[in-house]
Amino acid sequence: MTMTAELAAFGPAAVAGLGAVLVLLIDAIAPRGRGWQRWLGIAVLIGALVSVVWIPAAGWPTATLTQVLQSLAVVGAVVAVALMGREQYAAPGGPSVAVALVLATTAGAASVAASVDVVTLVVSLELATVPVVALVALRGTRGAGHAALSLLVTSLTSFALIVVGAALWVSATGTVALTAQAWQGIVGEDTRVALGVLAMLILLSGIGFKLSLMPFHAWTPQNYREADVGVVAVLVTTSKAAALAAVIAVLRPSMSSVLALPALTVGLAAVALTTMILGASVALRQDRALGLVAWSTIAQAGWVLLPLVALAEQGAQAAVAYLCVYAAATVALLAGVAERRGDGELSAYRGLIRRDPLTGGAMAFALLVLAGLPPGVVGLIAKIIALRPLTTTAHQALPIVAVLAVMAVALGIAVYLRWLVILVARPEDTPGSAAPRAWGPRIVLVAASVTLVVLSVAPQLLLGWVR
Amino acid sequence: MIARIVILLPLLAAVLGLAVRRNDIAARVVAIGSSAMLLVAGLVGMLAADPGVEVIPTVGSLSLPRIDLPLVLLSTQTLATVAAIVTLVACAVQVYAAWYLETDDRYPVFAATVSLFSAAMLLLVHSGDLALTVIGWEVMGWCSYLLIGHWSRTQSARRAAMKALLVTRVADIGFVLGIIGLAVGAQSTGLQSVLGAWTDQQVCIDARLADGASLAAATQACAAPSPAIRSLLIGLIVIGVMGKSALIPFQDWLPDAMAGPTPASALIHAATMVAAGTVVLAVLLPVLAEAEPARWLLGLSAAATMVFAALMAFAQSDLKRLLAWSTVSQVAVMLGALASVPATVGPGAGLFHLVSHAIFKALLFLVIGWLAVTAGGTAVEELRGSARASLLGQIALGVGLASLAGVPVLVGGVSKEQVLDADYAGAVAPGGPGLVVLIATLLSVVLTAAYATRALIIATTHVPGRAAHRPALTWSVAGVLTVLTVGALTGGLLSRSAAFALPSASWVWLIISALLLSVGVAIAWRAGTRGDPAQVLARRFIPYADAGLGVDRLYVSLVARPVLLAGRVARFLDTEVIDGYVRATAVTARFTGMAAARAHRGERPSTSVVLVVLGALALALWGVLSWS
Repeated sequence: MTMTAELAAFGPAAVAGLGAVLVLLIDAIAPRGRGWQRWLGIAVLIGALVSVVWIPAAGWPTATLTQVLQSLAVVGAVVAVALMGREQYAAPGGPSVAVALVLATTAGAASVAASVDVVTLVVSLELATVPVVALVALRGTRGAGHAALSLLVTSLTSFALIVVGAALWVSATGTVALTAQAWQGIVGEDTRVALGVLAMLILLSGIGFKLSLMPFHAWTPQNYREADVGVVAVLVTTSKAAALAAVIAVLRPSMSSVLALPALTVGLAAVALTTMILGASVALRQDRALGLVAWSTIAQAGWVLLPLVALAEQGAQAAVAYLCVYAAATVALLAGVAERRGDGELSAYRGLIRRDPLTGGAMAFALLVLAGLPPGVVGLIAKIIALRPLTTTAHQALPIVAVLAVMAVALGIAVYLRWLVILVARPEDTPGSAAPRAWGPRIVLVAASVTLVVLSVAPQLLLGWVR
Repeated sequence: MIARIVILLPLLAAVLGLAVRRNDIAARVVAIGSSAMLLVAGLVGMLAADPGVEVIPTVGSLSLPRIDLPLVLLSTQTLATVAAIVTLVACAVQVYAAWYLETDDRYPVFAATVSLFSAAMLLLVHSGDLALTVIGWEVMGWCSYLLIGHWSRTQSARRAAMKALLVTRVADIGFVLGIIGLAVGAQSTGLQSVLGAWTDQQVCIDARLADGASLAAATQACAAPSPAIRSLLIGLIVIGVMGKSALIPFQDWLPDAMAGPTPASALIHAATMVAAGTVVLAVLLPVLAEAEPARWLLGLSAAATMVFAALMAFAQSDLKRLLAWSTVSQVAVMLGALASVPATVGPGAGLFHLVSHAIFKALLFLVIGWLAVTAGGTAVEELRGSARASLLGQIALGVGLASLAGVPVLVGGVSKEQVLDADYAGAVAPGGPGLVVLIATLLSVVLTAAYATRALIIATTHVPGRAAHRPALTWSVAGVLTVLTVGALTGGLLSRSAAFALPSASWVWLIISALLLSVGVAIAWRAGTRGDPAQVLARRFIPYADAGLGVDRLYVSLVARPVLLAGRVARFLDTEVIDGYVRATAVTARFTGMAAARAHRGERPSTSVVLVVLGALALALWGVLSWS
């Protein structure tokens, strides 16, 4: 590990953060200008993406994971800028504040992905979360206010937990570094190992809300429903990338350990399985599009966490791969929802595939990917990738995990087919309102769908990356 | 060469007939023209047949791992003669059907089915490969369903067709299993390989060596015969044959099959389906003769059937059903001969009785059918005295019935003597059911003579007060009846051809059968020439005989009901027990979702915080608890 590489990893965060300041500065100097904020935001994000690619990978084994997670955060921010509706941009502070907040949260997420010590992790997580609260609240509706409040209290409680966890970690290992060396230092001392595991569990329970794991998920449905679709896209991509990066960072010390840690394994598996099964069960009962997306997110979070149960580097890769596929599919769904101007009853999508084959088809394909059914092959591949690391762990609970995961798959298929059936059903005879075409959602829809189709046709792109 | 033509010609006729089914006249031309050509081909094949076995390739052999299918045809003098008789009956039936079904709107389909049926029977006769035998066997089964159910607008025809299909299909389970077993044991479906592998080991090894196989390979291929397995496999085939040939306990489908049009009855019951088993067992005779249990199974069933069916025939109140029961009885006579003869004597007698029965039974069905058209039905009351008005009718019916009864010199008489001779050879040879079959056959001679006499008396008796309608006679019907009558009169000469390798007529059996015949005739005659002998001798028995002794009900309660019950139980298990689990998961998922959704309805920030804290506590507690 070289110091330069570690510093370079914070490059994207720096670019995004400076970009946010720049947007606010220009707005302060020339408050009259309109429309430039989006383009400046996208330019900054492209700059951040360039700096992601420029991180020197040499001598740093986990650089690829960091790069992928940072790319996801940045691309997610671009999607958010493209999807955010007129109301969000017209909120107090205008488009400058909205774009600056997106850039700020991106900076936080990129920074989380680069952090290898507890202190940076805590600060970066704060930076990644607080702007999202503001973005939700800025919409100005009563429901959005409640949702933002819910998110805020949840995140504050969680930060308290993270701080406790960090303190435990420092007292267990004597260092703030979340590294294999720090763990190596305490192997052999049972009390300190147990304390270290406790620290990890508490840190995870603090980060859990951000990944929408149960029981830290309660804020999720409310925020997905009340926030602007663009902000939901931030929650789905950038925020999730930060959350997964934080989980991996916390677990990384134990990944290179030869020590079996049943407490950690069982705890993670219990959370993952509860999340995927209960999330899917509730998703079955949802009648609103964004409600279903929210509960589907919770269910999928269980799948993101599942490969990490193996406590191996391969599991971390699998989790990142799964998150990318999930994010692409959900973004495609959100773009479809954004085209139809926000939330709505599922029944409003009846026959969409006949009325608007592009949008309907893209949404149907995304649903198939999320369900893991062909022709959405990539969804199936992602599930295989997520389950594969488990086969390397020889824990006796593995069969139970496998059975429950299969149940979750079945439930998931039911969840997504419900919407799919509505999409392909014969439309009612009411003439469809010809919504004015917005270019942002349409481009996002096409880009996300193309990604999914390409990965379905050539799954080796994904399989090749995950060993 | 001729064998291929004989099989392909009716097949083409069937395809062509279906192609022109919208045009009645074209269908007639195709049916009659092709069957006339078929008859010529069949006769040429019979006359031109060389002594010895001719192997005729078809589509080339198929070689699969561990088994090869040569797919060849065989032609011998015997097989060519049987084939010629099949073509004769098929031609007669086609010509007759063109008249009989003149006003039927589905005649073209019927004619095409008859062609297909003939093709299947001829394939079976000439088959040199068990796979082809199974194909012919199956196609006949399905065609018989179509033919019996031709008048599908009537409930009884539909039921009869379904009954025939189901009963024979049940028996076919045995047939197919047996064939597969034989082929697997021989590692070939070729008839000669199968016979070689399942009979004498040395012969088999020699044949393989001659084919160029190594000694080890030949020994391995010929290692199959185990007496127990051989008996089992042949026994399974015998069960299949018993089904198609309507032996006890499968006998009841055949009388019901009379619901089909008379030409179909003539075809199915004279020369094809019911006789197919005889052909199969005749070619497999070398193996059958060594499988003692299978011989006993076949012999006992045939012995019981020939007597039982003859009794049934005597007391039928419908002449067409009388002929049906007579078919059951006569086919049992053929199969009995095959069960009892030792391998050294050969299947000639049984096959010759098949030929002879084909001629006279086709004649009888067609005469009765012709008379019934004028009389308005086939019941005894309607047909009483119906033959009086027509000289041709009287002669044809008389010759047919006399042949059936086994009057010497007529074709039926000659074949019956040969059968008795063969049965006797079996009875005196060690092993086998020969004696039982011989006694049953002798008994059936008496009974057959009795019911044949009864039928003759009914058809020719004078009925006071009923004007004798002269049956309408067309040239085609007259021609068909004449040809068949001449066949029945002179067919006995065929026994002198080399085809069946039969011994010359035995005077002893001639005299004995003539005596028994006279006894039977006397019994019927004594009961009175004015009325119906059955009314005098067995009045109370007639309703039971008409119902086949209620065997139909037995089928329903012993087979159909239990199968349906098992099906219902399986369905119950499927929908109520197995699906119960499936539905339970759905209910559980829905309930869980509902409960969880209700728990989230409040969406208060405090709930979120409480959940987060509880979750953290649980995880921390878990970490502490697993400390040690």
